[in-house]
Amino acid sequence: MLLFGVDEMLGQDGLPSESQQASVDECASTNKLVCSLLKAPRGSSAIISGILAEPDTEARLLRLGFAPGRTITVLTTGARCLVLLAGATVALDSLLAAQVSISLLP
Amino acid sequence: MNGSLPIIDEFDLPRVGGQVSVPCVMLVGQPNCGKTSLYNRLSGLKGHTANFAGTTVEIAEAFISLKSGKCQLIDLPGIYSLSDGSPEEEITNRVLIGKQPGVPAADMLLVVIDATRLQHQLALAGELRRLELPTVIVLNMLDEVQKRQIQLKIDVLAEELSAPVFAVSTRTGQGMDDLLRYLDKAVLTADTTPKVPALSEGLARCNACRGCPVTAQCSWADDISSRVQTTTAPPPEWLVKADLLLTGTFWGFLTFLVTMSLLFVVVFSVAAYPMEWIDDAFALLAGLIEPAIPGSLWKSFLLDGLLASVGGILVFVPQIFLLFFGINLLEESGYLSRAVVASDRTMRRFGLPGQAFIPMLSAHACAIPAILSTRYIKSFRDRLRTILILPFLSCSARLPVYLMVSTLLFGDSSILAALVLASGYIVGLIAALMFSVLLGRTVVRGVPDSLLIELPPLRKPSLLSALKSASHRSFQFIKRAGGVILVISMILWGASSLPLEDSPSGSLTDSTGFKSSYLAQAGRFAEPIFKPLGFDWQITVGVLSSFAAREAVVSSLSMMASSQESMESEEGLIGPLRNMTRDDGTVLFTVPTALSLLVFFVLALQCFPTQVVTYRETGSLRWPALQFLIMGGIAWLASFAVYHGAKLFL
Repeated sequence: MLLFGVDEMLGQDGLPSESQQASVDECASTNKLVCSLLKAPRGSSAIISGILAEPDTEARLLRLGFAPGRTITVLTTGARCLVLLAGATVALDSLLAAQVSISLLP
Repeated sequence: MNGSLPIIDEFDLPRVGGQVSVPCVMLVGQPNCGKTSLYNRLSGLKGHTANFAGTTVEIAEAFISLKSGKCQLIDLPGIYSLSDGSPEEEITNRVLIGKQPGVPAADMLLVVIDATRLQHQLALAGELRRLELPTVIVLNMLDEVQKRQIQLKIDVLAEELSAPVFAVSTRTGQGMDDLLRYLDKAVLTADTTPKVPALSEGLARCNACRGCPVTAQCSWADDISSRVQTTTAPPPEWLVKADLLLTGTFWGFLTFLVTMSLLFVVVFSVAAYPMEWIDDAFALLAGLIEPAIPGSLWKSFLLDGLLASVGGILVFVPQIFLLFFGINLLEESGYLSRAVVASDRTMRRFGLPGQAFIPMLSAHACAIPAILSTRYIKSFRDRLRTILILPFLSCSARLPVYLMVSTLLFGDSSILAALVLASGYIVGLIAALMFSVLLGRTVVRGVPDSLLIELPPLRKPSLLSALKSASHRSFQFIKRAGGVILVISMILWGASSLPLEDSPSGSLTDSTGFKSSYLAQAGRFAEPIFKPLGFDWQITVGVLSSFAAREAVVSSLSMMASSQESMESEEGLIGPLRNMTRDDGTVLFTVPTALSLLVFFVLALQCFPTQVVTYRETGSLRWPALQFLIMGGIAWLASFAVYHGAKLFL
């Protein structure tokens, strides 16, 4: 389920560019139901719907508990994302966050 | 009973075919679950830590005596799953299926779970139970569970995992007596239920889209957790706020910078005392030995060679011990993970992971403990790149050289001398970062692994664990690097002291003897290599002698500068150096030559102990050789440019 091209979302250094940041704001304001973790509004809860990464990266995310169907709470997004996942706080950079697709909970 | 057991000597144990034949209990769990604290509780401060053969993954083991018999306790590395995603996971997997050479098969598993993060840690417990080994589940952090009023149905968990469950606090010792009583009864009889049909059935049910094993385990863990943990316990609000602050790019990085700077100030100011005691002890020993040894060769061998070399190794130990003690306290407190997040973005711009910031700061004191501290970096590629750049950073051994050159150049102006001194540090830092970028595009290709890290709760650290780990690192340094450093130091002593017949007194402290030593001859031989940099044979000897320790260049040059000259005061050191002449009678230390020497010492790697540690940590001669050649090449070119550039303008 490819929702976004990762390259389109990130600058060359793997950090969100200004346009991407604007996109994050847009996502937060329109409250889309499905988006990448990078675009999730701060403080929102969501269900992980998929991982759109290379097999190695996918395995890393899965090992740390980013399994489809799990609920997360977004503490902050941007250059670094902090999420509450299964009772643990996990930090990931924007490159990985862009590869986790989520369904926002109302 | 306080939760610790008597330790027994491995040599007293029964053996079958050379292997110790006592039951083996293995501790398994996720990182930061308190597994090592439990191991320390059970084993006390004894036992030992070693690497798995051919890897840097560590295993801690102890032999403990239960009332019913003896058993071996093994603390396996913290892992998130049994998939082969990291060296730790790969080795743990092999150990648990009994296929790791040199490690006995597990008779029982102690699966340690942080009860405050039950849901996150249950998936691994489920995976481990599927191995169908006799298992005891240890729910750690009972004190925090009670404090946060988390309700746990332990009987439900025991039923779901088909294994006995004990709630303990390794910090307070709560619940440890019950666990020990059970172990005492169960270890020799393996009295647990190995079959886990209910678990297997549960794991087969996957309510997620993918159907992959990890997803199924997570789904199973969420289901069990919701039934075991009847009250939800989100992290306290203060912790969330602290996380946001400590991981932030600006405030987080600033906090990290201040914390690490404070740590280093404390470490190196406190370490100065034991280092002085070690120096004094060796001086006292030398004073006692000197009158008792006849003959100049033996005296020089024992005093200038052996004692000086052993002292030169041991003098590093206080710094290494205190640095690791401090870093372990920060790691145990949970702060270090947050600092990694805070520094990751900055470090990544230079192709380094966030964790590289710690060894880079440490390297400004000494590259050796800094290289050892790269073990906190999980990815070998990221770790290798960090190890290779560390010697560029100005260590304390370079300081005497910087001071010598800055005083030679601008002894009359403290501001200009300070600028020269500061430039040494700045040039070193810039070179390290540029070298990292270069490595990323050439021999150590690739970008650092993306940041993905669990932030453990902020906790009061365990002094016991930090002490134990620091002791282990210090011992490891002596054991792994000490022998090689000793041999190299002895070779350099021989080269600088022999042949004795050319010296009237036969002592290294005699400048006449030194000038005719093999090292001096080597200096004359190697002079053409360094001549384009403005160095004559005397500076070349200084460069060669600095391979044992960088600061040796100062004493070598002083020795050649003045026969029996007092080096106690700065004036006594610098005066003769200023008056040094080349063989043709011209002044040796002109401004271009002094600047060239400074640049060479900022950039070159002429420190054998550092190379030995690099070899030990990378497991290959290729990397220290590459490090030496590239740093040497860069230093030569930069010095050449500075020398000839300065000659044009000055």
